[in-house]
Amino acid sequence: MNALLVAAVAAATALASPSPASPPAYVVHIKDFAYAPTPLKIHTGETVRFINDDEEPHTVTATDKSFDSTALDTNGDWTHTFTKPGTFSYFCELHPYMKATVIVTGDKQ
Amino acid sequence: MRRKDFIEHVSWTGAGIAWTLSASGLMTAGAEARAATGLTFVQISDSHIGFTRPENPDVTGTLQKTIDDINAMPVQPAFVVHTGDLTHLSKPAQFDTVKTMLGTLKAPVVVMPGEHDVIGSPDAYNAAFGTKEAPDGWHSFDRNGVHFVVLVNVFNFEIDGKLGADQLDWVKKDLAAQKTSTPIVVFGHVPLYALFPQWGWTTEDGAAVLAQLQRFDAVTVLNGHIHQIIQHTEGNIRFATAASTAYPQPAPGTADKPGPLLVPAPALLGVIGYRSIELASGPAIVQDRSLAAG
Repeated sequence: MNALLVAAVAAATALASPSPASPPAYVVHIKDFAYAPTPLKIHTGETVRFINDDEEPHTVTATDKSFDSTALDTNGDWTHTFTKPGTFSYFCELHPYMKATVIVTGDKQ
Repeated sequence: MRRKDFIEHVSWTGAGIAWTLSASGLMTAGAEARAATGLTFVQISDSHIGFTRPENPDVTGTLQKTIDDINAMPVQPAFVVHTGDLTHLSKPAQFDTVKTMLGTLKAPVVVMPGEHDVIGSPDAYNAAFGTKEAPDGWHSFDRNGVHFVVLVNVFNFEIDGKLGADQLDWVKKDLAAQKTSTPIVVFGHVPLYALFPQWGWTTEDGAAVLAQLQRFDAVTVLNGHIHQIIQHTEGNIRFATAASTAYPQPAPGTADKPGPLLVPAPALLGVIGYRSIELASGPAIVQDRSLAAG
């Protein structure tokens, strides 16, 4: 009973508060050992969903180590919100020749 | 000597190594178990526990068959070395499974990570297989007058095939202490030479180690990573990559990209397996065995 109540309160809180991670506005597909689209241009605070369409596992790993999906198996996905402007290069830890970029500019007006 | 004959049975008395590998790749009945006068060990590789795709939906089953075949060898090997990619996705549960399975081998086990074992971080690998004696994984040991070197070429950020300055310093000192006549055997996951760099089948700074190995009379370098047997010779150094216990990969350049190669189910056991290496006083024997041969 208590557990149910807590769950209900938690759900209500989640609905009421502004979600820090808005629904992904952008999707990057990983297919045939490549990320697309790249470079991806977004604004600060926006969220990107990465989906692995390959039969091989891949990762989305920032060159500056600021983010890392760890292993994404086939059909695996991972979302990340970019909170700072900048150019973020990333690659696949398992296939380091796979490289791509997300360019984050200032807040969307 | 015709090329085919050269590949099928070569005996180098100078370097002291004889391969018995078929021209077609895996297996030949070859010279069966000779009297065990020297040191015999077994290499297995690329078990990819956690892989579930059609290329091999039962990777635990094929690893188990490999273990059963090794445990049934009439003379047990001095040790079994696994040259990496124990797991597919570096998950703790996958490490638990493979560690439990390898623990059923009768012989002692030597392991090193592949790039699939350190995705995100080496923490899960180290939790399962790390030791205080070799915190970075690389180490060496001696058995029956043979010096064995275990290298780790998957820990470097952004480049799978790289050893790094610390490890190069260590291996230089380690090899400097060995006699020229001491047989040297080197293990590592990714091939130590530029086997096919287009697919990442190379160790970027491997040449620095190969330079250190040139002064020895006989060197054998055994790697995994590419899920197929490829032999190569550079002077005194014999290279051989191993078959996987899980699934094959395409020969270099025969596909758009590397990755699991689908073969008809009945043929799978013929292209995966393990190998035994005998280092006797005479020529050493490297013998690859498919799981279909057992």
